[in-house]
Amino acid sequence: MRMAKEVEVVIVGAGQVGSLMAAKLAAAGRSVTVFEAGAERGTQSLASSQIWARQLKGTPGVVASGGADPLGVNFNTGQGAGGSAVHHYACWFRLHPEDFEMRSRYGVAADWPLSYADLRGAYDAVQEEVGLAGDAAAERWRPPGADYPLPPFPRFRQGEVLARGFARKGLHVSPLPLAIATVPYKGRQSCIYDGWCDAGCPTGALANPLVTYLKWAKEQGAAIAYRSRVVRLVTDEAGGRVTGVIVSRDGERYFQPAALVIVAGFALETPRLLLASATERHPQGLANGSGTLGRYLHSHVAGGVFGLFNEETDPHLGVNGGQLLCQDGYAKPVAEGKDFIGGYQWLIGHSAKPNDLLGIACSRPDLHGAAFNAFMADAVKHFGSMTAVGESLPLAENRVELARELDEHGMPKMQVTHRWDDNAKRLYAHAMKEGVDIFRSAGAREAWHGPMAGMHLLGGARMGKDAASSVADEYGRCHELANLFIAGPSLFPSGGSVNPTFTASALAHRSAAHIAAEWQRYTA
Amino acid sequence: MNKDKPGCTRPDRRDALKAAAGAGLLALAPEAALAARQPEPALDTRSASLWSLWLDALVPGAAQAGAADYLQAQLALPRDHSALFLRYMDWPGDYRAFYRDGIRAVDVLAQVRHGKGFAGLDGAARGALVGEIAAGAPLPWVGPPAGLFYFVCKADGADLVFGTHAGFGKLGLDYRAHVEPASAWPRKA
Repeated sequence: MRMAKEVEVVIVGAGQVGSLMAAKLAAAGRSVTVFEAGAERGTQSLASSQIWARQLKGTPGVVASGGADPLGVNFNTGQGAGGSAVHHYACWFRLHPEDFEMRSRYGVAADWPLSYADLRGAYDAVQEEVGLAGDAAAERWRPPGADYPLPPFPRFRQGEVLARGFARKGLHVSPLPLAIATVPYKGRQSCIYDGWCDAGCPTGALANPLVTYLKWAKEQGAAIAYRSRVVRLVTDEAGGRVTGVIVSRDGERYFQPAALVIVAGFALETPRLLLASATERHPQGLANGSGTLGRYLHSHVAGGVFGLFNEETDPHLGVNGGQLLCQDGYAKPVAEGKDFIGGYQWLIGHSAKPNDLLGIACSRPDLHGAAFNAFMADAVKHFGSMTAVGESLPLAENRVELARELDEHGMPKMQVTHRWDDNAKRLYAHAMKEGVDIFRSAGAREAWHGPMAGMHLLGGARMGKDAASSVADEYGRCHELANLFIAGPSLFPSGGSVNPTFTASALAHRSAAHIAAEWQRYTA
Repeated sequence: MNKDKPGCTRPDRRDALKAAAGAGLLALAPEAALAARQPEPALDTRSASLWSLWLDALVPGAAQAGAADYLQAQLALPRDHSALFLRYMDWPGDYRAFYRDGIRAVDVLAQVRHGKGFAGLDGAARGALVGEIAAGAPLPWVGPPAGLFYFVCKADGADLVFGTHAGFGKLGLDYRAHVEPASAWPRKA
């Protein structure tokens, strides 16, 4: 097998966190190569079309997403430069301090190996780098942290209408914090509120990796190798260190030596690669002495609430993530009128296109024929929508495993298994009832909600203080291998009730700074 | 740049792609060029015709919007380039078989219920059959899950009728493209 010239750092995956770590470690003077299984692309390839936008979604090697409540895999993943972050909606929240202590405070899930205070500085640094827009004072639920560097988003008619419903129920809203430029920021244009976020934002207003960390990684000298699938991590004889990776490209396999390897392949591909790298020393897969690798895969409980109003709402204006936020329901404990552990938040007033999974059409799957067309003609002017994002407790049985079938690179494909527990189902039912009530309070002439769905992929290689029950430590370093790190949401022991990209980025930012400072310790 | 909308790029990408495609065809001999323009369709003519009728029953206007061409074009693409809504559903099997078997199941169900195929039904009968399939448990049904087939096909119809420039126009919406898609839907180069 051919051997490539050694580099100091190999990163697997050119998504949000892989790009961030590449930018930081290259800036720290390290030679960095990023291997991305998908294709290269730039912002000019991001066509404004929900039909074309499906090409951004992933098609990972999953033979089946099964179990009682299968997770949506393709919609929640990406492929190519920027990964899933290219089509993410840039709803960036901090986890709350209690999210890090679910086991010690509430007796469920697992504690994180670090606290909010440990991560606060990285949150502040990342939001300054990419440019977050919001109103920190209006977010009465927000943990302590620096003010947002950009002013909040404007409120359009849909936001005004739905805010009325929240106010009448005694609930609070704030502008939604978004990693989208509301004014020009670091050479990026400001948003023009046309709602093409899901199709990728070609203007550069939305801080996806193509215009932030991946761009900066390249500027700092990191090499990005596209259509290059890492099929195996290679260890030394003792099994205590990674010596490099085997890369498959254009039908050829070669060995890329490295002093340190970071796997940033997202919640499915990261455990897949570690499991597929089993050796005699690591028969269950690399870093899987605990037996938890691939397990505790989880997702946020999500449900959409929809309605029609007599007044015009301009539902096409704004951004896909929404205009407003409500975290009044974030409290964790069971309480009167709340029969579940964990909280939820509302993302309010999505900009909705007529078609596609999160468009107006799919809000009424029951309608067809002339009735459906009549609904569409009405809804494009009078529609409103919001989404509950709720916490689900990670279950060991929810997992990604290797399948027998091989992909075109000769790598085992994946089998994903998932079910919701009763707690998650109660949370969903509670939130949907509240949501429909809010719409009615806002004056909706019709209000309804969508099915229980999974939003975001988390876990699968969780971090923790105890090597017997986790895969990696607080910096993502695998307990059993001195120079192998994991980055991304696969590390999350639990997911709180907020979208994960900001936290995954803050974790990666903190880890990159740690690796740069402790380079000799990990590579000597 | 799009001169009508500050901050909005509208490069001549569509024209460039068309020119490139045209140049490629001109470089071929006439027979080869004809073959290149007419690849083997993913669905046979009868299935494609039935599909158009079925989609028009789900979302009126879908046939005229190009239902048959849309499906043939997407089924000709590699899985990771497909723009089919089915992609979201994590369907593990072959996309062609999903549509081929689903269309056949619709036609068989029409035969059993009415003694004639779906094409021979009037609008009311087609609507009733759609309702039965949407409910998810029609019998007999040999194909992909009926409810899923209905849901996916209706979303396909919404793409065709409401998700393109023309569709936005019918709804009175400004399309507001930042980068114009090269065509309404992708197709094999």
